[in-house]
Amino acid sequence: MTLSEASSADDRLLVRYLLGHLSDAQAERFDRSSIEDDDFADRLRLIEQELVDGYVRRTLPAELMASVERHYAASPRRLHRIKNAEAFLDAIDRVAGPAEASEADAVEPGTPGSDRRRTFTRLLVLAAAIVVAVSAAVIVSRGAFGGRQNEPAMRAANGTAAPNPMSSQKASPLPATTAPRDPGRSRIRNIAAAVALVLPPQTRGFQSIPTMAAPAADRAVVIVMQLDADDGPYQATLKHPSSNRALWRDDWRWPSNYKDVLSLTVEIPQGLLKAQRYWLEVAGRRSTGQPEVVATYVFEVEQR
Amino acid sequence: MLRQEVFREEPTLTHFAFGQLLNWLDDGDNSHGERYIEIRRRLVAYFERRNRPDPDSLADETLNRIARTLQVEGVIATRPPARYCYVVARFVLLEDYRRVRKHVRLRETALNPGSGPRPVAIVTGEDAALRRERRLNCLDRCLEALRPDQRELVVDYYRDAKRQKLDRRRALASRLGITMNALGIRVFRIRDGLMACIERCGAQCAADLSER
Repeated sequence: MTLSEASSADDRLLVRYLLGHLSDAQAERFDRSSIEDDDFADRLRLIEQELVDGYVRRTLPAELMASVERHYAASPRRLHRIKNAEAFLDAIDRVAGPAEASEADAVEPGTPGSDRRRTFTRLLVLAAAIVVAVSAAVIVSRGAFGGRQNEPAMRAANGTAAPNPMSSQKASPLPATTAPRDPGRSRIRNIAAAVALVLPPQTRGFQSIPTMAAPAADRAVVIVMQLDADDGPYQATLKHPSSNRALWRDDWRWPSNYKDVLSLTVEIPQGLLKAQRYWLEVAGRRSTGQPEVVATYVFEVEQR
Repeated sequence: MLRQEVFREEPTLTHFAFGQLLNWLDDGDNSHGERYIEIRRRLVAYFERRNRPDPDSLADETLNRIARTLQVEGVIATRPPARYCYVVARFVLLEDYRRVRKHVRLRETALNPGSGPRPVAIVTGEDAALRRERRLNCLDRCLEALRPDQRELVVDYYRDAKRQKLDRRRALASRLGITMNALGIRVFRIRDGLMACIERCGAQCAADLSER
């Protein structure tokens, strides 16, 4: 049984119950069964685990992913359960072998150009991961030896794949990104061409601002922000520094981890960045569930 | 005097009362405490789904009340026992809702600067890496501690291969001669044990580290 297969109406009802979407009367009936009925209790537990695993594996439909984030992950205990599932499935993947794990990233088979996109995605993610690791090394070595003013730990990697009609949407002010995309590796999926920029943590005292050349209008920008804390999920908001106006807001996402360097990866839609300075504000969640800004990253876009 | 803050009754149970509770929950079988653990787990999940901040305490409160009733009355007519557990749990839930409402009102009137929301806890990268490493070591150790057939079953069941997952699970169920549901429950129980092992291992590692 997997939730992505949406096996039966009963199971879907159980999912709605777990996410708090049933009426009071219905929920009370389920409450009663969850304690009185052995079979029901077992099934419910199983469905809950499948829900959590599906969330961790990013195999749930978009609306379920969002609902899990909004309702289920709002409780610290359940968040802990999600983290446990992440660790568990990570261990299973390592035991089962790398070939299996990478299948989760696969683009739907039969899609025109899917192989090329998949190859590009992997290259891009690999590039971003390497850049994160290299930047971390630069930060550590410079931090250790003190001395000169730090240069921005920034690298750009230009994509080379053909334009993708699926990524042709123009960014509008504060577009409501409703469909959650996968964090880290599996998320950067439909980008035909992108520029990657790595931003070090602002707390490390960088004097100069990471700068990038203005991207072409058909290029999305992937920004990797290194994080100090692992208390995700986080949400990034792109802001205009002088007006503090929000220009674009990402979904809530979990940070990814490459060789113990934590990072949050966002994909800024094509056509949004002009030649000027920007802020990326990263918000975490307080224990009450309220968002709170935990880090701010500044970067600059220069005229080509 | 404000009594609503101590709405919970005396939580301690005598050894005898606890034994009575175990017998009553077993309802004629001897589960060696398994039934108690199972019912408690269901109660915790129930209070958790109802978004109570401390579901463990409410589950304990429910079972303690039942034990006291058994001690005083000697018998509880409602059957099966799980049904009565739900009835009591519902009362405990309603009382908890009421108690929280009263506390909120008191808090709203009090000028207590320390009662605001807690900021997000900041964990240093080093701490997080250490914790993650410790956890992965525990996972490996606990997976190794499983019987080979259990380990194989868990790995086969949960390994991620989107398109083949369902087929593989079907094949597993057919090989074992059980339904998919039964397979899911069997594997889930192994996983549950695994997670308990990891918790124990993590606590042990933390204790070892603090002793150094």
